[in-house]
Formats: sequence, C-alpha cells, structure tokens
Amino acid sequence: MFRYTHALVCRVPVAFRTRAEIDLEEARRQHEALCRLLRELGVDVVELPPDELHPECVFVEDTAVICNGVALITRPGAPHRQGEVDTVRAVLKKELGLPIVEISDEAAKLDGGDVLFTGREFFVGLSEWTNEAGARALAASFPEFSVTPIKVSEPRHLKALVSMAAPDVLCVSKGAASQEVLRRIEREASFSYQTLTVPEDSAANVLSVNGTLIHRSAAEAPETCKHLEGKPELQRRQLSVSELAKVGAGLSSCCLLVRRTRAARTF
Amino acid sequence: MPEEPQQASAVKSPTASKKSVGKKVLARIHMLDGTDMELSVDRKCKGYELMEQICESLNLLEKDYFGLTYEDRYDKRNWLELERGIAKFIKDEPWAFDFEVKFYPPDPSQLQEDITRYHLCLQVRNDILTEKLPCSFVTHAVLGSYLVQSEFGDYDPNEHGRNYLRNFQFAPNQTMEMEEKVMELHKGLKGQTPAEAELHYLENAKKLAMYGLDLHPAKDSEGVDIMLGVCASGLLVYRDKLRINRFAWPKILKISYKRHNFYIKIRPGEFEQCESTIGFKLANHRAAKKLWKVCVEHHTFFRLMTPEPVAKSSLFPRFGSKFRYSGRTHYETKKVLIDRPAPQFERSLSGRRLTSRSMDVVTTSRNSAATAADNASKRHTMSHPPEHIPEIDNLNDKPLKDKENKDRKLKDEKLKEKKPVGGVAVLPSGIFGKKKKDKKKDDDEKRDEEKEAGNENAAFDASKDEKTPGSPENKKDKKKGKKDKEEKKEKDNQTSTPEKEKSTEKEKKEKSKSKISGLFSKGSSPSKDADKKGKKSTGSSADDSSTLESPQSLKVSPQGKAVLSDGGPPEGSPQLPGYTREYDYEENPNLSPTRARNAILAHGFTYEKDPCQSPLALNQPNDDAQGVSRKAVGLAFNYAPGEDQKVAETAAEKRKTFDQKLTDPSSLRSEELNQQQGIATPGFDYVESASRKEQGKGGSSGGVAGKPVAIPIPGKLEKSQSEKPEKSTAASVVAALLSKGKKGGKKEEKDKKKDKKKKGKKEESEESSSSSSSEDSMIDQYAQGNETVRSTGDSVVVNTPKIFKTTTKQRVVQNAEGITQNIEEKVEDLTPGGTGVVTVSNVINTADAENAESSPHVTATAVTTRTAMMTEDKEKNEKTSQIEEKTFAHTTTTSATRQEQRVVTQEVRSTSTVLTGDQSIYRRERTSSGSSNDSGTPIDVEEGQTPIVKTESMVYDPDVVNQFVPPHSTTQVPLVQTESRKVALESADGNYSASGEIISSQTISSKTRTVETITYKTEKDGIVETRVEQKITIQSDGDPIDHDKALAEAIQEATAMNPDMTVEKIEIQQQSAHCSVRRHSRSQLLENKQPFLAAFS
Repeated sequence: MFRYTHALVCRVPVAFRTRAEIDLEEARRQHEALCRLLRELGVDVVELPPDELHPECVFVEDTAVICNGVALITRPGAPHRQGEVDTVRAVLKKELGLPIVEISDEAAKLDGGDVLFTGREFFVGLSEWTNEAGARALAASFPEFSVTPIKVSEPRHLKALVSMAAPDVLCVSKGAASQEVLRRIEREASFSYQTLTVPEDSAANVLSVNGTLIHRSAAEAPETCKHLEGKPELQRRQLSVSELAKVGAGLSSCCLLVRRTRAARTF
Repeated sequence: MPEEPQQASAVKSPTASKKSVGKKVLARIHMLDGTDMELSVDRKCKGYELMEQICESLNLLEKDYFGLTYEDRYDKRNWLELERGIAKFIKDEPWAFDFEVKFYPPDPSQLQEDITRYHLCLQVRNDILTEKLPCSFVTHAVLGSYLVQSEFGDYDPNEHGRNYLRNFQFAPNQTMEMEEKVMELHKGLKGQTPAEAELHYLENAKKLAMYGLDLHPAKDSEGVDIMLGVCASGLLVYRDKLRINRFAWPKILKISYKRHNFYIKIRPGEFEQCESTIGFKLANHRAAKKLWKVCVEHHTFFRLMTPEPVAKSSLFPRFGSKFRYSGRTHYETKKVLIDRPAPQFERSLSGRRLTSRSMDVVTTSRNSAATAADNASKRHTMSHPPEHIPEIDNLNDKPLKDKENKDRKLKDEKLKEKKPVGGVAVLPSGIFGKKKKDKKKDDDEKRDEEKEAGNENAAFDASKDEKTPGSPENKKDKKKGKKDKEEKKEKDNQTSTPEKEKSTEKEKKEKSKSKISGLFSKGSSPSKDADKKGKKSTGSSADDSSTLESPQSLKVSPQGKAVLSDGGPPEGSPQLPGYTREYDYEENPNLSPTRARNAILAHGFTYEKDPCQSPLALNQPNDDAQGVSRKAVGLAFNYAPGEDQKVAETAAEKRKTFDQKLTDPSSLRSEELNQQQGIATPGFDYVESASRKEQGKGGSSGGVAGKPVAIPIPGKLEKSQSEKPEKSTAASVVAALLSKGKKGGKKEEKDKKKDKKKKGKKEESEESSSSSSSEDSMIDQYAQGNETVRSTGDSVVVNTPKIFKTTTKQRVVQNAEGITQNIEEKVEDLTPGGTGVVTVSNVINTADAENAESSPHVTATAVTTRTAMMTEDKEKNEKTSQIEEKTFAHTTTTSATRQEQRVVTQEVRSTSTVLTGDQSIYRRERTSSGSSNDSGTPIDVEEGQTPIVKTESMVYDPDVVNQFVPPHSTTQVPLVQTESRKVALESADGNYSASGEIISSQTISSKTRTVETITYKTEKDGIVETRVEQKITIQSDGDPIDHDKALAEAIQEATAMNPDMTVEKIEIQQQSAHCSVRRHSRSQLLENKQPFLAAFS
C-alpha cells in the first residue's frame, strides 16, 4: 500500500501568480523540492511543462484517480480547470500505459482532491468541487471497493482535512472541520483505522510514499513537527509548500502517484 | 437425468431409506458447478433432510454455509426454510432447487476443508459471472488466473497454447484482452495447487465490496431507490453504487417489518443521542418479510454463538412470524472440528458447464457425456460416498445436535442460577410457553414498561434515563408482549450473582471471545483482527460502534475489566460486566470508554416487536423499573415480525412517538435526529443526517468529542512510559546498552573516515540528564554516552604503535530509592614506552524513581573496553590503526517474584590502513554477538530471597560459542570469545573486503515492546546491500499479555513499515515473560558500481 513507482507532476506556470499572492520563484523551488524528494524515495517523476492556460495545472491530483492499475480521469469541479485533464490523460495513457476510464455523466463533478483511498475503501468528499454524480462515477469505476460519500461542509477538499499517513493511518488535524470529517469517516468505514492527529490544520494533508511520511516543514507547522518527533518509528521527511498551499490542499495535490507493476497486483 | 450419478446415491442414501413410508418426490438440485443433482425424497421431508442428503453426496461437511433456493410465483429466489416441510413451499414437481452459499464466510481461509472452499469458489465465480459481484478488469483477470491455475495447473506453453482459455468463463463480457491478461498472470502462479489457487481466489474475492452481500431493492423514506445489503457484518445501504450508510450488527437494536416497511432501530451511540428508528419501504409485504428473515438469519449466524430457540406455540394465538434461524451458527460450525482425511473431489471451475445452467436436461447430459471422464471420477466421489463419511458426519453432527440440546438445557438451568455464559441470553421458549399461560395481559404490559425503562436505563446510563414509563416509547412497548414477572424477579436475583461467579463468567466469556474473534472481522483476515486489537491499544479505532475510541482505552485488553477501568463510576460498573457478558459481541467490551457505553452493550438486539414474543426478551429482570433497571439489560434478542396488529404502529404513530420524545427536554438533540431519521419524516438524507447526528453527538458528549483522537502509530506509546513496569525497564536498558555498542561502532567509523589522523584523546564525562525511570530518557542518556565513549577511542598517531585502552563502565541501578547511574571511565595509555597514564573519571547520577515502591531492583552494567592501536610505518608511508571494542552489558532485574539476567556482549574490531594519505585500505571486522548471549540463567540472589526464577536459556545465534558466567569484577574486562554474525564480508582471497557500515541504529520502546533497529550497509562488487536487523522485545510486567499476538503484531507492523524488505530470518527467544524476536530483513539494491573503497579515497 502506498508504494509508488511513478509520479506525475506539473511545473508551476507563471499564471499561478494570478491565483493568490504568490512568490513564484519560491513556489517553483518548493515544487522542485517535492520532485527531488519523490525521486529520492524511489519514484520516477514525470514532469509536465507548465500550462499557462490553466493556472492551477500544478494541482494534478485533481485530474485523475489512480487505483488498482486503472486511471479514472475526473471532471474537475471548477469549470476553468476541466481542460487540465487532457494533458494528464494523454500522459497517463501513453507514458505510463494505464488503462483509462472516463466519466460519461455530464453532470458529474469530481476532484481527485476529494478522493481518499485508504487502501481498502474509498471515501469521497462531497464538496464544492465534487457532487454525488461524481462519487457515483468513482464507484462505478472501482466496483471492487466500497465508495462512501462524506459531506465536507467547508470549502476545502476532503484530502485537505484527512489524508493517509501510512497504511491504515488517517492523518487529521485538531481543527473542527477535520474532526467532523473524521467522525463521519469512522462512522461509515468498513475497516478500522488508526488516527494521527496533528495540531495544525494545514498539516493534515500529508503524503505517504514508499514507507515515508512527507509532511510540512517545521517552519510551516512547528507544532506538528514537534508532535511527530515523538514518533521516531515514523520515517518522515518534511517539505515546505507554503506557496503552493496558498491555493491547493498542500502536499498531496501537487502529484499524481502511480504504482505500475508488470503484473496486475492483487489488491 | 438418469445418467446423473447422484440420483442413484440419493435413492440409496440412508436418510432417504429411513423414512421410506411416505410418497417420494423427485428433487432436482442445480449445483454450483452447473450440474444437476436429482434426489428422490420423501414428500414430507424437511428442508434440512434434503440438505443433508445433498451435502452427503457432495461429501461436504461444512454445510452450514449453504442453503437451497427455490422459485415461486412471487419471487424468483427464496431461501428454503430448512426446519419446515418442503412441501409447504413448493407445489410443483419435480421440486427444483438451487444449491447455493447462503452465508459467505468473511474469512474463507478459516474454512476447515478445501472442498468447502471449492464450493465457495464456484459460488463466487457464479456471482461474478452474473455480475452480482462487480469487478473491474484487473480484478477479473487476477481472479480468473487463480481459477485457471486451479483447473489447469501450471501454465504449459506446449499444452495450453494461446487459446486454452477460449472455453473458460471467468468474467462476464469476457474479452480477448482479458484472456491474455489471465494467461500472463497464470504463468506467474506456477506451483500452486488447486486448493492454494482457490484459497488465493477467495482471499481476493472476500475483499470485494459486494462479497457476500444479499441485496434487496428498497426505497428510503423519501422514496429514493436504494439497495439494502445484508452481510456478515451488518446492513449496508447503497444508493446507486454509493454506500451511503453502514449499520454494523452491534449498532442495530432491533429489526422489524410491517406491511411493506422494514425498520431498524439504531442503538444510541457516538452519533445518535437516542435510539432512532429508520424505515425503508420495500416493494411489498413479502419482500419486507424476506429481508427481515435474511437479517435474522445473518445476524444469528454471524453474530450469535448459538441460535435463539424458536418459540414454541403457546395457547395464545400467535401473530406474525415465529421464524428464527435454527441452524448452526458460524461460531458453532467453526467449533466443530472436522477430522478426516481431505476428501478427493473433482474440480470443474472452468465454467464449461455453465452453459447448462438452465437446468436443461438435454444440455446437461450432453455436457456430462462430453466429460465422461469427469463423471467417472465423480461417480466415485459423489454417488458412493466412502462409507466412513456418513459415520463421521453422524459423529460430528449428531453429537452436536445433542450438544446443542444439552447446551440449551444447560442454559436453562444456568438461567436459574446465573446468566448464561457466552451465549445470547435468551430464555428458553419452553419456559415462556408454560408461564405465559398464567400471565395476564396487564402484567405483561407492566413488564414491558419496566423492561423498556430498564433497557433505556441500560442504554443511556441510569443517570440519563429520560424515558418515563408514560412516554410514548413505552406506550408502544406496552402493547408489545407478555412477560413473566416471576421470571424477572428470579432473574433479578440471579443478576446479583456474587462477584466470584461473575469472574468465572468473565473468564469464560473471554475465552469464548477469543475463540470467536475474527468472526466479524469484516472481511478481513485474522491477522487484521489481531491488528485491530493492536490498534485498540493505541487508541481510536473506527470499528463499528467503537468509532471514536478514546485514548483512555489504551491499555484496555479486550476484556470487560478493561472497560471498567475506563472511568465508569465504580459502584455501577462491577455489575455491568455481569450481564454485558452474555451479549457476546466480541468487540463490545473493548469499545466503551464510558460507562454509558458500557451500559449500552448490555442492550440487546431485537428482531422486533411481536407482542407474543417480547417475553423472549428474557433477561429483563427488573421488577421495579428504576432501581434494578440495570439488570434488566437482558439481552433481548427479540425477533418479532411486525405483523401484529397490536403492535400496529403505523409510521405516523412512530412519528408521533418521536414528536413526543422531542418534547422531552433532555432529548432536544434527538429531536433533530428524529426529524431527519424518522421514518415518516421527509428529507431523510443519509449524508445530511449523518452530519446532523454528529453535531448532536458533538454537543452532547462533548467530553468525548473534545478529546484528541490522536493516537496512533505504534510507538507513540512511549508517552505512557512513566508507568512502565519494571521488567520492561530492564529490557530496555539492555536494549539501550546494546544500541550503544552498535552506535559506537558506527560513530567510530565515521570518525575514522572523517579524520584519518587521530586526534588526541578526548575525555568527556558524560553528562546525563537526570531523569526519572522513563526509558526514553535512559536511552537518550545512553545515546549520549555512546558518543562520548566513542570519541575516547581515538588515539594519537605516533611512530610506534600507540595503544590506548579505554574502559568505560556504566552501571545503572534502579531500586526503591531511585535510579543511580554510575559511569566510570578509565583510560590507560598502554603504548610501549609511553606514559602509562591512567585517567579515571567517575560520574554518578541519581534520579528518583517515579513509582518507587513497585520498582524492582534493576542493575545494569555495561563495560566497554576499547583498545586503540595505531602504527605508523614510515617506510611504507602507511598508517594502520586498529580499534578493538568490546562491550559487555549485563542486566539483572530482581523483583519479588523472579530474577532475570541478561547479558550482551559485543566485539568490534576495525583496522584501517592509510597509505600515503590518499589511498586507504579500510579493513574492519566487526564481531558482534549482540544480544546473542542473552541468557536467563539464574544468578545468586543477593537479597537472599528465593525468587522463582523462570529460566529458559536459548542461544539463538548458532554461532555463539560459549555462554559465560558474567564476572562481577569491574576492572577486568571480560574477554568474551564470541563468534557470530559478521557484518564484514571478506572475499576468499582476502584481497578485498567489503565492510558493513552501520547506517543507523535506533531503539524505540513502548510499554510492551522494545524495537531495536540496526541498519547496515555492505557492499560487494558494487552491490550495496542494506541489511536491517530488528530486534523486537516483547515485555510484560506480569500483566497477562498474549505474547504471540503481540509479537505477531510487532512483526506485522515491522513488515508493514518496510514492505520492500524481505524477512530473512525470525528468531524467537522466550525468556521468562520475555519474548524477543530478531527479524532480519534484507533488501538489495543495485547501485552504480562504486566500490566502497573508492568513496574514501
């Protein structure tokens, strides 16, 4: 679980500046650091050139859901982002050779950032960017997993509130929104999960890649880092993503992780 | 179908012949492999008799998972009630049935026989082919490949070619692409036997979201189409493909149906403030009843230990269904051990016969003709079951039945004395039947009232009992059933059984629990179950009703006792386990951090509200609603069909009920809930209501909600270490010392690398933060110590060999006064002609022990001798330095009851030769016996006590040559000759040596576990090999812990943490209560040819 061979990222376009007060250079540095770290962790990073037409193209996570060797191309909830999927689709298909599944329902809205895969089941946040039709499409694409919709009342992606810190470990923050979503998840979950509760809201979004927990740096989430230091058994790395996080969910939103195996894996 | 062999057997079958009186009927059973079996059976025969015959023909002993379906004019598929005469249900002859899996085992690997798994495989394959079990491409291919492996064996390109899958059906809408994928995967399954392949097939299939789900179309209160799925773990609600709600069995208090409505009553818990009832509309009355029956059966099978006895008819007219599941439960069926050689059977997974599914006789016969060979062999297995089989069957079966009866009787008796153990507390119907006669209705009504109150009490905690007898809820219940007052009184008395009895009950319960655990693992493997338990100990688990586990329950073992410790008021608590126990939901006891929760556990599950039946809610002892209420808890397993007019609560009435409830000030929250959840309330939106409920919960039980849910990740436990038991202290001290030694090696290396020139010797007295007994800090101390010690090893470069010997002795004593750490360091200059200076430094640290009284006497001694020799050969321009380090660590723990001793020795020798500054040959040999000399040998007891010394000495490193008696002398360095794993690899010719570099070493300890991780890197021929060695020590302080389980968890965790690694070796050593494991994992990675030496040149 959470072993990956490839990652798809998209470099930061100049237009990214239009989304918020962003130090573009810093954002790029942070993005590069992420790529470097992923490579260090044994992941082949495929970098897409910046797409100036889509300022938020850097958040590739929203464009696809990859699981069990299949890529579901999403229909991003924000209309201006829907064009982003084309490049991603092409790359996933041609570069990574993944079977592609499309959403046929025109009414469906689905952002990858709202899709939390625990390794055993899906939770899909019903948020500003994802509706029930989108969740249905997800369920139809991965029929072997149960897909449970989780209402997200804040204007945030589900994964900004809850993410996977390790197999069967949910990372949440102490914030009310995060806790509320956690309760919903726990209520409906088929499996039981452990919880890693971090103090800062912004730190709830983490990445678990090949056994390493990637979380936000001490500068950005000092309490969290302190908290995690008490867990020496965790292999972890920290990254600064302050600029990127001004718009996206944080760490997970900037990459699409893929596990490509020669043989289909038994899930 | 005369050529079907089964028929013959059937006619001859003993069961059939026994009852040869009646008229015979032909029963044609469509089997899972697509064949038809024909049996001639007595017209009056009951379902189970037919079932027995079928299973006998199949040679199937684990038959409880299976059932028969038939078609009638209303419904395509009905489960045959096995307890009743078949003729009741089926009019048309010949009788046609489908033999199917009725209860899908959540963990197929727990099935006892391969033949059972084979039939389950057939069922799952059929479910996939009929798209009942939807899968994506990849899953179809994976599953298909196992079927192919099972059927065809290993892939053989000559024999199989490219088209061998043409007639093999493994997926609906099978494509060429899919077949190719299956072929590719099939090649990789070489060597798997059919049974193994089938097991893998099932292991994958069981994880599918829809595995074993019995779906019923319904509408929610808003009229939105949904599907209700019944499975082993509970009831699932799907809208389209989304699973919008999940009600695990423990969450459901009662299920019922009335007309075309189906209701579930939800246990108040984390999310619901009070009981709420959710209603669903089914197509018609039959559909509602069918769903209800399926729920009753699944609940009984998977959730209970023994079936609830079916109420015998009484003089009172009965309303509604008295249907109950009366077969063996999952628990029972797993308990009956099958002792026979694995039966031979013919497999046919290929689906070649599926074409004959239509029961078209002609097709089938053609098929069977085509596979004459198959039939020949099948004739052997099927038509003439080996003679011993029926006997075995009888042996296994009859006694069981007897036993069941006995059990029941026993239970009855027990009921009189005390509550039944481990079972569902169900009053034997017989008693009811008799007593009922004498009872008047008012009595019953009263009783109901009381019961309700009692239940309420139980559910809400006495202090919160918001429902007065007059409340609508109770009114409703008043109508419900008849109850026996005497009975209750009796029970009241019983409930107050003396503590002793309870404790034995508890024990039993625990036992049964442990047996049953894994049952409801929700499709997860037993290991997962173990996992879960592990998690429980670390906190929040999302399991069922335990959704938000508070950290308090950390140390909670899965026992009632643990629950108690969680903060229920002491007076009330002791009572609770008494009856919660009977309600043997194995997860329950773990859940409730609060007493309220605890009480809830006691609350039963009901299959609703038939007035006649409510008496079944037996253990309702409360005479007077209030005081005794807690005892009332009785596990009311009340399967009551809703047909009863008396019960007659229309949805409207229910609503009224809710409304009235709303007026109850204490249930303001519930108001909201009910409005959303109530059957008749429009706007029932699952997601929405969920959130509301949560709000409700958040508001009310803020205490719980406010607690940080944090917990998690193994190892965080460290925090709780201050309370750590003595023993673990000892263990981790050793671990710390060990790690010290190893770290030492590493550091040393580093030093060497960094500065080949030796610095002057450095002495630092160790500064150790005075710390309490927390191991953490101890480790820290040691870690610090390491570094300082390390640096002392460096010696000055001189022409002549310079030799320094550093002896560091660390001694930690923990006793009643606290912890004393004594570090003695002696540096001797042994250089020939040298100064002979001896420097001795001595540091003593003392800290107060936190829990001094309970601390055992722990003495830990570590002696490190380091001899550094440096030779400079000016001619060759070569410097050779040799460092030898020997560490000897010795720990003695003495507590009142025993003494433990651990000895660890380690030897590190490293040599480096530096040529002309630029080139260096680095040679190091590191010999470490690590903890390999661990021994539990008893030593003299200083205190003069005669402790019980449990010793088990086991040398688990085969290389270790000798065990030694630890010398107590402090000045003398023990010379330990140890030969053990060498990290250093030397090539045969000796020219080249690859050295092991310690990359990291780390020791983590928690209450029960110490994990020491050492990572080495060795390189040879450009291949860098990383070796991770983990030593896991499970320790306990006398608290009973399941070492095996703890160990299994630890190993599992370790494996999960490093999935890339392969476990090379697991060595287990058990020592007194200690159990330590070494786990070696190895991963290899190829790196660019970069010889190790080059890196430093």
